[in-house]
Amino acid sequence: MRRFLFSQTSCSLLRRQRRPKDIPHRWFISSTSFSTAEYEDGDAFQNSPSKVKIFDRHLKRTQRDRAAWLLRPNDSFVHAVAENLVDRLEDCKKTFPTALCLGGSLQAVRQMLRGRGAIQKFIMMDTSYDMLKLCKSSQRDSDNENIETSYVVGDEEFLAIKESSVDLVISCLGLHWTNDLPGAMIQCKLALKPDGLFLAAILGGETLKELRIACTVAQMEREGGISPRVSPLAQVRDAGNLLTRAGFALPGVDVDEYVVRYNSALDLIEHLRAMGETNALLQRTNILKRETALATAAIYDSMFAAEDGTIPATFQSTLKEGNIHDRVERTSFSTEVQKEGFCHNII
Amino acid sequence: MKEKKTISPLRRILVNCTAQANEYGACVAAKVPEVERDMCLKEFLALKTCMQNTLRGKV
Repeated sequence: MRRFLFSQTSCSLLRRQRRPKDIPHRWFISSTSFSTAEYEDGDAFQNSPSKVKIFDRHLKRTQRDRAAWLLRPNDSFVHAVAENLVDRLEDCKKTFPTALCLGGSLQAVRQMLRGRGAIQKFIMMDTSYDMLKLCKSSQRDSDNENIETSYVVGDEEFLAIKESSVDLVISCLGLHWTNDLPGAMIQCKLALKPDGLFLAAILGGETLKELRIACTVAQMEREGGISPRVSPLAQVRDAGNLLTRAGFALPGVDVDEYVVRYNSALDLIEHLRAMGETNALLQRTNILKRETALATAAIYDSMFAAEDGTIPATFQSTLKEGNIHDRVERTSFSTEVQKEGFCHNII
Repeated sequence: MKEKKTISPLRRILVNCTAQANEYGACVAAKVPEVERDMCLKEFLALKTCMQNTLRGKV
């Protein structure tokens, strides 16, 4: 039997029932109490007692399976985020012999790595088996052949990694689909050795705001009501609190905003589908009427189109990093950055 | 992997009915943020007839 830390979120659950039509994009779990509870058998993947469920993890796994087939090997957005994330490894003088990569864009991280951080053993973990198979088959093509890589199918919320066993935990765009982000981060912290580093890039609150607006307006005009289409995303100001609550020393938060241009709203949706980022909210309606979809595309074009006919989509990636103890040697530049406090944002 | 590029019906509709879509979009964009149900119904019906024509076979 394993013990896990849960967070009680009864106050946010009550709020959700009182305002059923509220779009939960500003709402994030800001619970206050921890409690340890016995972990029970059963549908271990999703049903845990007294835990808030926002996302449908089974569906997310299916979507990631599909994304494993759809994702092009050189997706520029995902590679840009991974590059930014892996760059942080160069800020530390430390080497990381063992590294764990959690979900998100595993392939991009490995491609961008190129020897930084002196990683010798790489554990890749994802909920989707197909995604791991894809990584395995592309391992022969990449030039990281000296790294001993192992592949684990597992859930980010139930880390099956021994305590104090990895030096580095990287997650590139993977943790924003967890039901319990604080819990996942705490488990990452437990898995890290002393002096270990935790690096994560998640999508922030401003992401896809144009899509959210267009969906809401179109659905209001066509159907008269709204259902959540874009998932609730962590606000940047909460990222620092999350890091300190998980127990990391030297927390650092960076914000990057990418505006990606598409030819039409359909291209945006196809890209999201290829990245495995489509809607997996438990509260979603499975029905999307053709008229509503058409209306959304038309409204997106008219409200946000640029002069050359392309539409922008904002992706805000929040890079979080934290250490276990502050005995890590850092270069002087990043020490200055860290000293300004854990909510320091670089835009 | 897709070998031939299949164009989804929605994409075909948007390509064929650009004018109506622009009118409908302009109507809604002008009235944001006070959005009510069926407030741009006329423009949307024009878009809808264009959509049905496209799906029926490019009238």
